[in-house]
Amino acid sequence: MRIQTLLRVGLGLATTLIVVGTGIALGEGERVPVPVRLAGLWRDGSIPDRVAATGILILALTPVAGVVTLIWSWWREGDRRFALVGIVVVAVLAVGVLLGHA
Amino acid sequence: MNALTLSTLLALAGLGLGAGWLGALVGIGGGVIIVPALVLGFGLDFQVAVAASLVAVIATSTTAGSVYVGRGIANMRLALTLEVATTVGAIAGGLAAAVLAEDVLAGIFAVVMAATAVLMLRGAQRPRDRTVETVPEDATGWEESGTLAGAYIDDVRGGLVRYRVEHLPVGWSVSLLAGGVSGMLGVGGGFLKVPAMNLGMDVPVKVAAATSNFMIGVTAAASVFIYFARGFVEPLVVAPLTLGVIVGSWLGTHSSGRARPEILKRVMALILAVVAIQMGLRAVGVTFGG
Repeated sequence: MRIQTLLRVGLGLATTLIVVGTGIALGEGERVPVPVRLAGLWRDGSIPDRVAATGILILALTPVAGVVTLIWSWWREGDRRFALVGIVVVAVLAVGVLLGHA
Repeated sequence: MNALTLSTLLALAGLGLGAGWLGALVGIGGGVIIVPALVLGFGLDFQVAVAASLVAVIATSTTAGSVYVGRGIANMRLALTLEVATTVGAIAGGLAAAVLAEDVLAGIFAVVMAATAVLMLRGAQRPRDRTVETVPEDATGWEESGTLAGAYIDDVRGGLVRYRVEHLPVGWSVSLLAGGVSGMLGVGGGFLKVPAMNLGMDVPVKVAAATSNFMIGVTAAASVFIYFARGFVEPLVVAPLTLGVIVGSWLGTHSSGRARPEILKRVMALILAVVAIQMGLRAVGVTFGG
C-alpha cells in the first residue's frame, strides 16, 4: 500500500469513529468530559467516550503505520540503511509507549 | 471544564476549524492557537490541553501529508533521519510536562509563542539559484535511494529542481529541540524545523515545509501515547476539536491560492504576541476572568 493511501485510510477510519462517538454523546444530552486512559480504552468512560477514544488511537497510530510502510518499501527496494533508520524511529516510539505506562 | 453542551462542542469545533485553516495558510500547526485557547478560554488543565492539541497536530499532518507525500514534495528519508532525534526529544518533553508545574509550562509556552511570532514576521528564507529542468506534465518528485538527495516539481518556476542535503548535525540538534518543545507544549515544532532545514541544511523551503508537515505527525504521536497512558486525553473534548481541525486544514490547503499569506502572517504574529503576554501573566499568577 502506498503511504498516501494509508494516511487517507487511517484518517477516514479515525474520523468516522470520532464522528460516531460525538454523535452518540450529543444524542445522550449534556455530560462532563472524562479522561480515557490507553490501558482502559474499553473500560474508562461511557460508550461514546470509548468510540471516540478508539478513533483518536487510530489517528495516533496512522503516522506510525506510515513509518512502518516506508520501512517495508525501502527494505524491498534494497535501501537497508534507511530501512534501519525507520526501525530506530519505531523502536523509539515503542519506548515512548512503555515509558508512558511506567 | 463543566458539562459538555452542544454550544461547547460547536465552540471546540469552531476553534479547531479556525486553527486548522489559519495553520494551513501560514504553514504552522494549530497548536500555538489551540493550547492557549483551551487553557485560557475553556479552562482546561494545561496537560489536557496539550494532549488535545497533539491529536490535532496529528490530524493536520495526516490531512496535508496525504497530499504532499503523493506529489513527491516531502523527502521521507530526510524526515525519518531527523525523526530519530525529534522522537527522543518529544518523549523527553512529554515526560517533563507530566511532572512540571502549570505555571512553569505556561511560562515556557509564552516564550515559545513570542519566538514563533518573531520568526513568522521575519519569514527568513535562504535565497538559492537552483537549476530548473523541464519534465513531463504528470511527473512527480523523487528521492535518491540510499542518500538524502532528491528532486521536486516547482509549479511556480515550472520544472524539476534537484537538491542535496548538507550539515545533518544542525538538523539533528534543532530536531531534538523541536521534539522537546512539541512533546512539552503540544505544538508541531515546524516553526523551528523548517528554518533549520532551509537555512541550515540547504533544503528548498517547499521540501522543508512538506517534510516538516509529515514529521510533526510522527513527533506528536511519540508523545501523545504518554499523555494517553497517563489519563490526559478527554475524548469528547478532543473529538470536536479534531473534526474542526481536519475540515479547517482541508479548507486552508484548498484556499491558499486566494489568500494573502504575508498579511495573514502579520495578523497571526499579532495574535501570538497578545496570547504570549496572557500566558506569561498566567505564569506569574495574573489571570483574567474565569
